[in-house]
Amino acid sequence: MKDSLTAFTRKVGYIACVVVVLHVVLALVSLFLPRHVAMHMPLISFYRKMVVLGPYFQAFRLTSSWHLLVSTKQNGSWSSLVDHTDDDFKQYSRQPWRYDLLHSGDYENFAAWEVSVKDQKSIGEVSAQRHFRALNQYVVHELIDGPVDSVMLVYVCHTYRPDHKNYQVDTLFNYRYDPRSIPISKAID
Amino acid sequence: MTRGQSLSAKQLIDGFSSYLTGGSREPVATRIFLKALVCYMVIRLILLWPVCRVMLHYHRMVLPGSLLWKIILAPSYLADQHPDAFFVVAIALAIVLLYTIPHHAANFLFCWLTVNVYYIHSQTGDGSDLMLLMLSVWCVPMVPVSLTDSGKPKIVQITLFNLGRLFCQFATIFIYLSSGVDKLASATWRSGYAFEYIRHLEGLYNPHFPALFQNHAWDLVLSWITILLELAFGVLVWQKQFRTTVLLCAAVFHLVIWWMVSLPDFSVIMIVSLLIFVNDDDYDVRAAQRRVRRDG
Repeated sequence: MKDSLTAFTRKVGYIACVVVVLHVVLALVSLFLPRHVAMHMPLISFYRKMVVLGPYFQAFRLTSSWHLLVSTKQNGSWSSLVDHTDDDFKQYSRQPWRYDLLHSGDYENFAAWEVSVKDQKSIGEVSAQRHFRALNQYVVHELIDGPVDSVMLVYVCHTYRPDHKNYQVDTLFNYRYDPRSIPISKAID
Repeated sequence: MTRGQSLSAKQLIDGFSSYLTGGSREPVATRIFLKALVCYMVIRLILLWPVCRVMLHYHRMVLPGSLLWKIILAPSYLADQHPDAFFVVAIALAIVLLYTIPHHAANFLFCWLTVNVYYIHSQTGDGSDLMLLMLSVWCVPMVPVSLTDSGKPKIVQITLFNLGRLFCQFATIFIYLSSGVDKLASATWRSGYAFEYIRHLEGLYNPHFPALFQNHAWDLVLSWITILLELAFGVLVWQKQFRTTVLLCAAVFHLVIWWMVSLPDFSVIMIVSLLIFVNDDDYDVRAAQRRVRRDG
């Protein structure tokens, strides 16, 4: 009986060793294999996405920041462009316990990014997109006070240039439209 | 020569096999790690509640078609329709798990909850969500108390516990290693310019971070400290004489990241993940020191 248990323990131990070695080998292969090769191997690709997390703070992610600027038209005149997320972040920097301010612009940035990556130029084309509809609803209900005639959404990318000590500004989209003409994304109360 | 090498390899395998099957390793420290993870989840749910409420108000969640995923993501359906109800239930469940005795069912529930929080927050989530998800998966077999006295099931339980613990440790090490390797290969990081970019990252860099550190010499020093810490962590953390030092350095490193680039979620989950490297003895030493101080 005792011998049988010892043999079982040894067998389980060896299987566990094989599992550990396989895990480490797969993780290292996924880490060092070039991305274009790894993406054609499902198991390695899964390890790269879900098991070997990172890398974080990659150089190309540090160079740019994205901003959604909002302006409204009332009584024939446009207000100045406002970066609500930046305003919230500045307030969070002064009040670090306001976690909600840190993440307040996450959704608008996500939706704006999704809109920007689609190759749709006109407001007619883009208004069919669910992300644009959601973004419009968000802007109208969360960022704008009261009814307006038109809204201008400008999504820009600021890329820092160390040689010039300034930012290169690229406009990813610029839409002016009547917010009431955009179909709703999700029924809300 | 060959005979000696094969003998030592066999000894190594037998030793490692015994390590995995010969008793649950560091049960007290593992229990503290599990509780810290659930505690992090409770705080995260409370903080994410208003953020997700706004997002779910406007965002139409795309839910998968397969029946299995529908069952797994059933709480996400609830969150999509009634975000407040989801967060009330999720926070209550997480608090119950915090006080529940260790069991595979409790760990599985925690993992299920984490999968759903990850799914709900995936549109705007960051590395901390993925890290929490992965740790929760490896935690499922980690039950630091013996649930059975019979031979074979007990051996299997112990082995799965040790494997889960080891995989949690690997998860943390792989994050550092992948980030370290990437930075070492990057001219921007090696030259120190990465920190100049970080300083100009609007919406992330803390404008109140001390100006003392804002010059190229400090950029270079901080870059190489980061690269070396990330590369060396996976080696030094296994060395008894360096373990405490490297864990403290890593904790300070994450606190500085929190302060400098306003990433509290990621910093806290990484600090929690470091707890899996703490041994039972370390907690005893701390308790002994407290007793000595208290008793004068």
